[in-house]
Amino acid sequence: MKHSDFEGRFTAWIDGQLEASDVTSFEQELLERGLDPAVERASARHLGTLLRDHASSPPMSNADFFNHQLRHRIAQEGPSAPAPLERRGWWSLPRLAFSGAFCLLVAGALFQTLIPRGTAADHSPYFAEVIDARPLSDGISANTIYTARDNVTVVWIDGLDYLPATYQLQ
Amino acid sequence: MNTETRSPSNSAPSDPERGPQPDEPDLIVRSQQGETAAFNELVTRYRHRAFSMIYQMVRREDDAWDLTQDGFLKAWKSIRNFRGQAQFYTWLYRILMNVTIDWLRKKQVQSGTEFDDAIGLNNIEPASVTTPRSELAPAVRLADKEIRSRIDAAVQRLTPEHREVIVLREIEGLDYQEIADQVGISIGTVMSRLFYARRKLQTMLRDVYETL
Repeated sequence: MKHSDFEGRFTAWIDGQLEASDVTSFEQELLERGLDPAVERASARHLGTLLRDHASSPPMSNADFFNHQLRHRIAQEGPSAPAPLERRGWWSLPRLAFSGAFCLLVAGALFQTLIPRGTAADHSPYFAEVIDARPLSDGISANTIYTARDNVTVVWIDGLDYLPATYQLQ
Repeated sequence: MNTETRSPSNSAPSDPERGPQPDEPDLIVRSQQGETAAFNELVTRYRHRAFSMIYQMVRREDDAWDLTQDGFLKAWKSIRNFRGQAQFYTWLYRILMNVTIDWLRKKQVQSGTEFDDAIGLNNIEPASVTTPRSELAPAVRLADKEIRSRIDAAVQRLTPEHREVIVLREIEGLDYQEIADQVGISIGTVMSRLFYARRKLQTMLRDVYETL
């Protein structure tokens, strides 16, 4: 058993728990502190013996009355206190699973209501081409406007001198 | 604190070797469900050990009896908190010791006395003074009662924490790990407390050594 402080090593040494390799150096340290190892050990041993020899406690008197009185006090006190609720974080596993499912549900609902489906791209092959086009000039821009009521998408192209014939809508 | 008159006789059946008893976990569960009879059985099992331990701390029979009552009552109140991580007696022991240490501290405040907490290594007299002199004549030897009285007085000057480790080590014979588990402190703290408690007792009882 390794101990860094003097108190710990002294106690281990007294109780015979100090490692054999450390005993000699520790006893040398005691001598340097002006303590005689043999006397210290004998003194501690005599203290232990003295305490043990005079440690006997009297037998508990009126042991059955002890129980009787305790039962009486328990009856007066009432039932034992309920165990306190365990302190757990809000993010217990069931709640975490519930929260995840709820988030997925909300995300699904938002997707259904806010993201339009059946876009113009489904009907016009030109839509994708216009959107994907990368204009060479910064002055050229393309925008689309979709009107749900008429189910019409207007492609607004600005900055072109002319529209290639192949891109003319039918 | 209990002050009721105790039963004048001790004629009721004494402690049990009552044949097979329900196992302890079952008694604990039933106690947690509010069954006082089950708790009563646990009390019967541990009352003598608890009393003896507390007696070693307070050194007075009446006080030890009352404190054992208070400790068991407190254990009953909180038995639903027992989760079985430690042995039941270890859990019970901590409750009993907390009750005892609180009582010792209150008593200290009320009486205005102070525990002798100022004795360190440098206060120890040269060890030769504490060397027992076996050649002393019997007439000089202290009477057993007087020795016990001196020990009681010395132990009462220890802090409750120092008392506790001395009792567990020197009287109960527990090893460091067992003391640490029981008291709920580290092994290093156990050893440090043991060191100072022993040195204090050696200083206070050195003349007793001389007469033995």
